[in-house]
Amino acid sequence: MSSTPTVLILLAIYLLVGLGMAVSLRGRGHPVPTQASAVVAWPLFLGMVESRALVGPFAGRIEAAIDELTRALAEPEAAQVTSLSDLSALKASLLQIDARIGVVDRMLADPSVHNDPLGLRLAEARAHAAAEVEGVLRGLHQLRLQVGLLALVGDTLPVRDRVADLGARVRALSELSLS
Amino acid sequence: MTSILTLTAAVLRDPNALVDAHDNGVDLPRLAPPLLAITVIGAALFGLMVGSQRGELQLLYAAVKMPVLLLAPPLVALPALHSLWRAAGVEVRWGRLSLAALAAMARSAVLAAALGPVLWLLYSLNLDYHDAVLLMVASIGLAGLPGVAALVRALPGGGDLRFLAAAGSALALFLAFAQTGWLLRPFIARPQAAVSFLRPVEEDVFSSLSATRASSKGDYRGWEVRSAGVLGEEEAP
Amino acid sequence: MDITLASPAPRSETAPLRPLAVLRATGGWLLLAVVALAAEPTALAESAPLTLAAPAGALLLTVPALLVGHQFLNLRAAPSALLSALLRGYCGAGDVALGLTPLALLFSATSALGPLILMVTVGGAGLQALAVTLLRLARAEDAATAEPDLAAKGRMVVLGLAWAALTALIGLRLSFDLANSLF
Repeated sequence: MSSTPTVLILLAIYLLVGLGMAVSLRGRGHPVPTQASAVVAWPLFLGMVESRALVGPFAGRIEAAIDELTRALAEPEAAQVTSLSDLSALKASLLQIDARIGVVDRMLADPSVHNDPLGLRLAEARAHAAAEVEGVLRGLHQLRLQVGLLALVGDTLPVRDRVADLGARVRALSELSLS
Repeated sequence: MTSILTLTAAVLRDPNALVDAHDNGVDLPRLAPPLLAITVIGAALFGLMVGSQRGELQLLYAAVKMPVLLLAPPLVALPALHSLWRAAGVEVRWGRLSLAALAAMARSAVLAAALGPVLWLLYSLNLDYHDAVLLMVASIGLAGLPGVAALVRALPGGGDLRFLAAAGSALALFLAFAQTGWLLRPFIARPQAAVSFLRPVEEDVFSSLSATRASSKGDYRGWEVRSAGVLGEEEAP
Repeated sequence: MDITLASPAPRSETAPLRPLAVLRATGGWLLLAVVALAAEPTALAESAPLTLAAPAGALLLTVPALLVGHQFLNLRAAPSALLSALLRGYCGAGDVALGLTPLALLFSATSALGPLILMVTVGGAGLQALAVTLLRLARAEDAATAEPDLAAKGRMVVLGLAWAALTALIGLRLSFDLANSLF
């Protein structure tokens, strides 16, 4: 059997798998450099497959909200509002918070936790974090509508302020605190 | 986005802290591109210095192949490392291992690039071909050891008989590195040979090592090349 | 008070072993053989089952002896705890074999060293699994002993070492058949 076709076949299989990984990452909103990295070094990203299991209750809605906003920001008039990498960072932070809520939900699924005073406070903190995430998701939806107004009004400032405000709320959520 | 310079300093000063800070399941996709870029740039610079031994097209060829030499073996050996440590009872998440591998590769590449000028200086003294190859291998080893150490240090504690997993990991990395280096040769062209990008697949790295040792002493028996393996073709006698 | 949530805790040694883990381990041995011998398809049919036979056969042949010896010496660990440690060792070795398949592919695709790499990886994975399992068997016995009992500990050490030696020798014998089929 000739060697060159075998080399090419093996290389093609490797790159095909990498391409599949890149497409999967694209679907999750990751930027082009990450997708390109996945094509050549996809074994490094195999853990992303297992991390799918570490999701919380808001993962699907977060993905959908960011996807909608990304499509709205693809309009030329909206290009000045924010960069797609900032949106990617916002999504990553939200998914991280969502994963943590998921961890807490699994803990709270144990009935004995509710008999503990600390468990009750954990449940309160979970409810607070969940309400904040809901608020951010509502804000993302309203932001999408505001981007639509840009086409008529042309003033990016209120939209940019709103993006900054949402980013600040998400950063504040990054630590779960009990006072 | 974390700047490349900041990341470069981080992988040199404390790669373990970098892995600890970003081992959260979400930072890997953001850090992978800059860390891979650092690896490619560092390895390419080192490759340029290696190629300077001969000059001409060897400069470009070595600069292109050296990043592959640094990247491919860890990617091939990563599943082995993961399973070896798991078998020793160390539950290391794939994401953390990947981040540690990226930091380790970047660290080694930057150190190799830093060694480049030393290599250039010694090559400018018209070293013998075999000495030039040994010097290149020694430099890669010198730069690679801190990377491997960083990778092992980034793994979680605990487990049973960790030294067995460490030994197995080192062996897997060494084997992958050796065979990949053999496949990507030549990095340094022989004085009488034409400059080429790749050579045909011949024998394997270990049989070539014994032939090279003999040839360095003037004994050129054993240099009748014979292709083998799935990618090689058996030559007609 | 700040709480930073961490990822779920890793699996413990006492968590039940899933049948899928055993299947994956078995598949790992077979896949390693297939990949390592890709350049020698004529040897594949005979050598692939022998690759699995070395670790699985060594385990199957020595488990009854271990359990009988354990009861005969009046040791305290539950047989299920011992079996769990043994199965985990087998699964660990099989996972190592699976993890080594890319490395085996590199050599089988680019050299004639596929069979040699297969022997090295079978030996290496088997040795690591044997050593770690020995430790876990001792730990299982310690966990079942409420008070320190030096005599019982001594008996367990002797039993463990004897079992390990027997397993290594049987594994070596079965690997000899594999080597015969390859070289």
